[in-house]
Amino acid sequence: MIEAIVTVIKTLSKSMANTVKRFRNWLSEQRNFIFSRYTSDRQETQEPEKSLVELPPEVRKKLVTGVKNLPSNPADKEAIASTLDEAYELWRENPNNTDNSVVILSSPVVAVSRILSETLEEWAKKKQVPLRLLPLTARLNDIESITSKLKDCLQSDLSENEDSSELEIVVIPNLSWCFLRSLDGLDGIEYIQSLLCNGSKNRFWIIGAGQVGWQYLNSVCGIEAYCGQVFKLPAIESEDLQSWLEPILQDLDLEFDEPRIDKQILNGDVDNKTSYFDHLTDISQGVATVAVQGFLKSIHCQNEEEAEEAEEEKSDKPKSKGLIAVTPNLPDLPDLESADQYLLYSLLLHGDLTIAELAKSLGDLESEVQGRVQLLRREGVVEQQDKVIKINPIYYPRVKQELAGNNFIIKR
Amino acid sequence: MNYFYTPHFYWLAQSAGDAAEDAAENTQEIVSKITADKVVQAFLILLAAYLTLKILDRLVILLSERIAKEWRLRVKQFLPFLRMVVLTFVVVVLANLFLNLSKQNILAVTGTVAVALGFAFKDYASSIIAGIVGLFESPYGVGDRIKIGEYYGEVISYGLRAVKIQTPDDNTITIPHNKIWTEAISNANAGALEAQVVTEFYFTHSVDIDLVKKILYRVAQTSKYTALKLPVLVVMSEKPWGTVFKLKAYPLDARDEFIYQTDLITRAKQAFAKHQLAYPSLSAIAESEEN
Repeated sequence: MIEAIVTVIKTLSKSMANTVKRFRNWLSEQRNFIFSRYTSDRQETQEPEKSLVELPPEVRKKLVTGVKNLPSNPADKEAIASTLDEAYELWRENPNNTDNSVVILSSPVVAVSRILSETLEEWAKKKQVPLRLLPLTARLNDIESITSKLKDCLQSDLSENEDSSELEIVVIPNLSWCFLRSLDGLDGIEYIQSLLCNGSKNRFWIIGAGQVGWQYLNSVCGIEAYCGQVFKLPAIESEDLQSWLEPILQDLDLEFDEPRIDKQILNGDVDNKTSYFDHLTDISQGVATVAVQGFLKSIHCQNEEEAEEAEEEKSDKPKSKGLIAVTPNLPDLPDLESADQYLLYSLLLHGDLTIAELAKSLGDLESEVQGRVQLLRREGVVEQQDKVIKINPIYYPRVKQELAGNNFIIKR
Repeated sequence: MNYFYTPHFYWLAQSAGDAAEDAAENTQEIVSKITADKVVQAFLILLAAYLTLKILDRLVILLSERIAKEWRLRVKQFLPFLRMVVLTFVVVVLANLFLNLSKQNILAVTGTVAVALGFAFKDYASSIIAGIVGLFESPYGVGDRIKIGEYYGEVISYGLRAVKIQTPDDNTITIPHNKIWTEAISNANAGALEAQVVTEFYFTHSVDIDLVKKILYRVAQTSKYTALKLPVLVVMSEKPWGTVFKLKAYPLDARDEFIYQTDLITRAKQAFAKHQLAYPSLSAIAESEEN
């Protein structure tokens, strides 16, 4: 009896301590928020994955390597394979009256070409059909020459295959590489459209594209009319996300922080890990890359107090390395001017761009664009790898919302 | 003659005196006792109203500029209604403070005020009434791009008496509301975020029409400013000296009207130069004008 009372008192005191701690954190966050409203500076360097910088080097390395080595989301691969099976079989049964193409749409911050190539490798083996992958790994430096490049790749084979009955599957891994929003930048799309309509009857097309780019091409060139089934990659589910990230989780002795009090009340007896992944899926809107960035951002080293508590709780388990995944959240967008919005839309439209391409797509001078990119890069909204600029995936849901609210042609 | 008229004048004088006394009594009935306390109260009410209006102005404009563009005009156009509510409230409170507002008194005061305003401030009253009518008829609202007479610009304020518009040259022009009785008012966007921009291009008769049309469509479709949710259209007309092409498209934000037009012209001219498309010759235009 006495033991039970002691246990209850201990539990109560622990939960009270947790509540106080959470309130203290909340207060300090609010204070930071209020303070930051008056001291925000666009020049200030923002580190989007600040928590990663704070981690010990070996853990950081492990995390970065783990994320880099992650295969494409298996759920996406399965969904693509089943869509291809269905469309391909339909076309095989009735090639004259069935659409000869499938379009796979992904979020603009997901590398659709990678998912497609990983999926198609196995799929083509299974189907025993030759794949003709468009030999593009990025947008051509000189977009005006895209049509001649496409002709070189596709028309020479077309004449060869015209009379033969051999089936061929043409894969355009990323349609974004075939166009640029400029005066001559849409010629490649027009050429592809003509091939889709009047090309060889023995060809089946598999096209990967970003959703924003697709929507733009549809409103400008009416591309959807030329293509068959358009399949949008499904939003990642909480369980799928958890099992996808499992190799990284196994590598780290990671603890999951208690969910917010409202989640605790709503979800009942759900454990911290499940609750964490439910929340992560929710805020990332089911986009895998956003979820991964959210996951990385949520990992922190436990401070001494937290570590002590964790030790107490897990006294029978092996000693913790002191890593904790706190409730994930998306960073707020900085104040964006109209010029920033135009730039971000252009990036979403094309997926990734060099400064020269970005300037061309905006119709601005390179020097102007470079300056604006530098500001956005400091804020963490865009990231630059070598010379290629992309939207930082963790900002994608907020950027999308912002642009949709400002009259850009983008689905919420 | 005087004999006969004297009592009559006396009677007239007496009746005028009675009327003055009646009017004084009526006025006393209508106007309640003015005390220092009431004057201070009225002053404070006016001050509070003035501050409220200023705060409302700033708050609504600030809010409208910070939220998503699709809501900007809706929020801005709510401002005149808010101002009217505040002003009506102040008038009622002040009237209640200084006047004994019985049913008869209200009728008397309204009549007197109407007559006074009708004669003394005819145009002013006309503008105020037009402003109130305009709130419901909506020939223009805050954020709209309008043309009244020779003035064109964005409505930046909808006041009690007048509307203020900001011209493309950054001049602010105040136009009384009573213009809506007599002038034609051209509203480019009528509450929408987008306003159509028409850009004209001129070529010789022998120009490759299909090529020009394709270039113009592409120019609009690839401009960062174009609202692709709305249609892009190229229309043509013939002149004795050449062919006129009109590119009709909408910018994402009506405020970008002129920069949008500049972008369209810049990129279109680059394409025309690349394809060596011929513009009409000045001599042909001059000749056509002479004829």
